[in-house]
Amino acid sequence: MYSRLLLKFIKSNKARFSLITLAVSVAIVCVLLILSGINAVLLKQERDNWAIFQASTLDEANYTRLAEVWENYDVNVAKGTRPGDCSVTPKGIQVFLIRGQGDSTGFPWVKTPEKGEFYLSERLSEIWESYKRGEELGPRFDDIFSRLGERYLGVLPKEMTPSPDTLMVVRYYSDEDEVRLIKAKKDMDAWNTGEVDFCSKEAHLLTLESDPGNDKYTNPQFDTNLAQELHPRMNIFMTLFELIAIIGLLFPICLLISISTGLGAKQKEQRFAAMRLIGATKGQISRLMGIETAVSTVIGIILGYLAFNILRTPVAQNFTLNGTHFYQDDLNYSPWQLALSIVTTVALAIIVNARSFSKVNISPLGVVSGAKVNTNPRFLGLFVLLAGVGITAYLLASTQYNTERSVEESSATLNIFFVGFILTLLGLLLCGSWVIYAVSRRLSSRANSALGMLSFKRWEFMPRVVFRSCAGVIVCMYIGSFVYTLAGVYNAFAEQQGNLLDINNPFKEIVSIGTVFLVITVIIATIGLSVSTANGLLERKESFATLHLSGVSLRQLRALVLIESVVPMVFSVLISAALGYFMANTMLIASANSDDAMGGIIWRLDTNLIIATLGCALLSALAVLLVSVSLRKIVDPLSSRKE
Amino acid sequence: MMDKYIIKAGALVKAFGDKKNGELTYALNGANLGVYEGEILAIMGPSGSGKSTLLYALTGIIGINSGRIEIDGQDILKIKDSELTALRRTKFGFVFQFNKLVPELTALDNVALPLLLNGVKRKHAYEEAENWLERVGMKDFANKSATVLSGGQQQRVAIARALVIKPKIVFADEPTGALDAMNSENVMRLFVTIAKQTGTTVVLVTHEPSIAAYADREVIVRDGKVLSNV
Repeated sequence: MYSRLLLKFIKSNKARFSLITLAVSVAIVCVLLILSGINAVLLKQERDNWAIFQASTLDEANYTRLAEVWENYDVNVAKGTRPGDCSVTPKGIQVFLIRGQGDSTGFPWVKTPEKGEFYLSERLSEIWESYKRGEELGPRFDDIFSRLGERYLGVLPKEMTPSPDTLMVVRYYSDEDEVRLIKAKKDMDAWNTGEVDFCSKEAHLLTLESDPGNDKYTNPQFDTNLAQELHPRMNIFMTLFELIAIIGLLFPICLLISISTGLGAKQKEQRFAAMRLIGATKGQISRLMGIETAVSTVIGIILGYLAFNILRTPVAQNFTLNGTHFYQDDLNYSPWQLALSIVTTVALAIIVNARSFSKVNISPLGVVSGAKVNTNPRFLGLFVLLAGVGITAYLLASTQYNTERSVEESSATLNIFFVGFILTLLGLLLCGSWVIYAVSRRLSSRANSALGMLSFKRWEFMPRVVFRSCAGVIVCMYIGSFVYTLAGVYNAFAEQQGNLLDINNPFKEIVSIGTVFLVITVIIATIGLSVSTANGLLERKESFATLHLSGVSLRQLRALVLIESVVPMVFSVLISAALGYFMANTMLIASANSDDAMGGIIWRLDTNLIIATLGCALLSALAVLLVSVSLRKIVDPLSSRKE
Repeated sequence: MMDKYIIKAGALVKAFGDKKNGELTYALNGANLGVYEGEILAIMGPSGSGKSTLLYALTGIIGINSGRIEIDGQDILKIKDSELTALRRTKFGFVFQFNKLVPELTALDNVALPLLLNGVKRKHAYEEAENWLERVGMKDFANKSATVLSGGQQQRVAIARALVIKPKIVFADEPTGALDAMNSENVMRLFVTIAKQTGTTVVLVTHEPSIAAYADREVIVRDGKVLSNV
């Protein structure tokens, strides 16, 4: 019985079924992308760790690893008068110098290079091969043997190469190298005291054992402590990035599943009421509904899994972090992660479905109970929002940009700030429907036009439904604009001031990654808005037919739908984007310390953020307009009468 | 008063279905109808006979395959959609079986809505709406949401909404279909009394003889044709 009914249901509810399937498949793709992305970043970091940190802890004597040592000193040395003026040097080849005997547990993948021996990373090896074939490569690779050694040992294994793009040489650490590095370090010290007008990159990373009395400098070592301090902001950004990925993506997806499940609820109620009339028990209906959701969820999972595998290659090929790509194999998930994603998605769909089913009103007489009592939303959430904004505003008012602040003081302020940040986000979600209710109540009592009155009354009557269609965008725009603004300021600072120790500017990429995720979340939220609008049209079929009969033209009805759906969306986008912007700048001002000399570019408005905000508003308007095309069919009095 | 036709419809044909497959169903199949100004006309007929299709065709809300419809001297098949919309807004009122009040609005808002659509100032529209609610005995429920009113109360509000713009014609599709006998009688009595007082023409679709009895005249529709003028 169930299979036949199920087929009938799917046939008669193609749109709803497709949307649930789509929502689930998008959810699976996003969850797998997030998990595999995090896995890929961790794997890459692991290999980076080998390259930077592990060498200094090698158990064998006489091993020295120097990261970021440049082959060509002419490229590496930049002119400048103060440390801040030392411009960013172009990306080059990392050369790791190793001196050792026999095999090392810290260097287990290949034989330790001896005098005159060297390894190349895969990418560098390819370039070298093409160089040997006489292709155009530039002067950097001229006479490479005299600089690297006489004996090429082969390609470094993947475990030692952070990414497929890495240009890396591992070679023997000679006595000449030691002399050269000591000179570089001394030059750097001299430059710092203003004695010379150039600086060299690697010298920053070196420590020397010195005996100033005899002017003797020995044993240049890679300073891991200094290297770890290179990107303190990068860690904050990785955390924020994960936050935007998880909250910003999953929240609109949950909403989409929830909204899709509720699509055509009225028709569903009528269908179930008819079944109750012919003797079906509530349990049978519940099972049928469960099977219906399970089928769409399973199909969604399969499609999502397939889509992820199709997307994996282009993502690995096009997605970069710190200027380098991922190995395609790195973009992967473990079996338990896959199982967890599937279980979570299925559980989510079942919970959302069960929740919507609990709201379905089925009378044993087969009559859907008429009056639904709408309770007014509570204003308590407003206090949470005010607390969040209040904390942040207090921080802004009580502190000023101060680069003399200690790191400890800065961390304490950051903790307070994040409390304000989270409270503001929670407050936005908790008080949104009350704000819509309160504002529309005031406006509807003053509306002079019929369309205005209808829109305001709709918001006043169903503030939760209206807010739910915007909640996804609120979360992604709030977090998105926060990260965007922060990354934008850091990016501008890095470009403006240059960075002595930075090869790639990571914030530029954070901005790009943020853009991709913002676009995805906005698209998901827009689909949610479209489904919610479509649902609203179906639920109000009779009202629209009546209005059309009463002389409201189709164009006016479309305008009504547009006003009702897009205006709250646009306000949500503007308010959340503005709050995110405000939060980012407050954080910069209240937590600045000696590492952040960027006071001049705070409150800078990123053009991309403005484009994203306006784009989101335009996209939502377009989506609603497309949905409202169906109005012609909806207002047909004969079709409405048949419902 | 009842010597001038306000509605003239001739040879109306409306078919549904797929012409290519030869699966056409004729809802109207050469129907002719004349309605006098100020009269209350009941269109009767069994379920599926085409009476509701006839009603909606007369309002121009559904298109027809062939025929001619003249309302108050205007051929509604030849005017633009915007003019037809304006005609419905200014000259027609509608009452349905399931009252179809806008659920988000109060009773007062629902009645004021057609006036606001016609550009009447808010203050005047609400005063007029309040008067009409008083006429239909619903003044005490003016600020109640449409969703909490009973079926009979909703239908009274719907009648006030249909008449508030002082339309020339009110089209009513099974206006008491969802009501019990007592409520049906109360609503029809009120409807007919006000229509007579205001001189409004009423075209009423029903399959209940007791409701048709309130009309000045009855016509029977069967198989898409108007069979008799009683």
